[in-house]
Amino acid sequence: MPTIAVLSMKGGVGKSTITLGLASVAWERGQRALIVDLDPQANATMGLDVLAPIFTTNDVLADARPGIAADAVTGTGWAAHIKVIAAERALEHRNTNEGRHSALRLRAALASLPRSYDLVVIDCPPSLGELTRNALSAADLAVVVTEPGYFALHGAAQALEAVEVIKGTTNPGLRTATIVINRARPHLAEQQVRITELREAYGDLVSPSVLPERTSIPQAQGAGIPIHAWHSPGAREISDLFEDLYDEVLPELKIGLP
Amino acid sequence: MSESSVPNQRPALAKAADADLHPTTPKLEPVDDLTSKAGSATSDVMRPPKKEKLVTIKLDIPKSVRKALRIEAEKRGLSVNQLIIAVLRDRTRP
Repeated sequence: MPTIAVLSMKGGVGKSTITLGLASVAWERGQRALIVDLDPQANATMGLDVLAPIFTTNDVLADARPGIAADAVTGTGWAAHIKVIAAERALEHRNTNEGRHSALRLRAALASLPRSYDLVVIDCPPSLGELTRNALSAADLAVVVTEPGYFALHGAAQALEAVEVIKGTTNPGLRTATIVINRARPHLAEQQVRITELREAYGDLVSPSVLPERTSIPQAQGAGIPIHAWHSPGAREISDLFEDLYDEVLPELKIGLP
Repeated sequence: MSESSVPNQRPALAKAADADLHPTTPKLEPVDDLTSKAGSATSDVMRPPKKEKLVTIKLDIPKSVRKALRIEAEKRGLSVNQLIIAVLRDRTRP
């Protein structure tokens, strides 16, 4: 089943929000999802309501034996069908090249694990270091996240370049699924300019689902529950957009065709 | 099923040696650098670094300190000997 890397070179654009949003759709639909948190800030881990995991992605990458990641899979507070390999601060130690096949450690450690899930989502750190290389080398699809801002657009371009580099080296099968615009405030003229620029530069690669900034997102994350379980008009709007994004990225998992 | 056909258990995942080490902790210099000593002449850069002679010191230390040294050395990926040299060199640096 598909393994998706969610990345951006700029911090704070909402990689973990997109990761949790995709997980929330899987939660709603009863599909089995594994979240692999590769960001030492561990925001996705916290949003999935995971308390004191025994093993983390730091331990998995330090070991890197084929299939060893199965030992680090832990439950979440969301539901039995949503699992995680948690992150921790010490994961930053693994963000350096650790010799031959360093970028293939996650792929080896995951081995056949993705077959046990409907989807695997890898939340990347905001850098082009070894952790992101590992994520892209293990993924089938890359979802690039950006804000409609000048710096974030440059970050998106760098992320797309990174995907091309990995395609040409460790993972020829990798492809960019979409570029997601997050934290949009469409009433701002500057943001409209940036969204237009993005669509002109990347065309259909830019997702039609533009996610607006809504307070329900941090509220649901703070409560450690899926956005689909947060009952407010804003949460329902965001949930619908995540459903659209999920169906766009993972058409094979689409249900209830209209 | 005969006992011989049971596959060997693979060792389980263990915590990484540096799991408790904060990522901003300064890295200690490799011991090779610690035991080399550059000369003062400009032409010394053309020569391989001179190795300092190693000596053996016998110390009596509490068992608890030895245990703490072993744990700290493992966290940093060093031998106890390398860790002690690094710490002593750091503390006695003029």
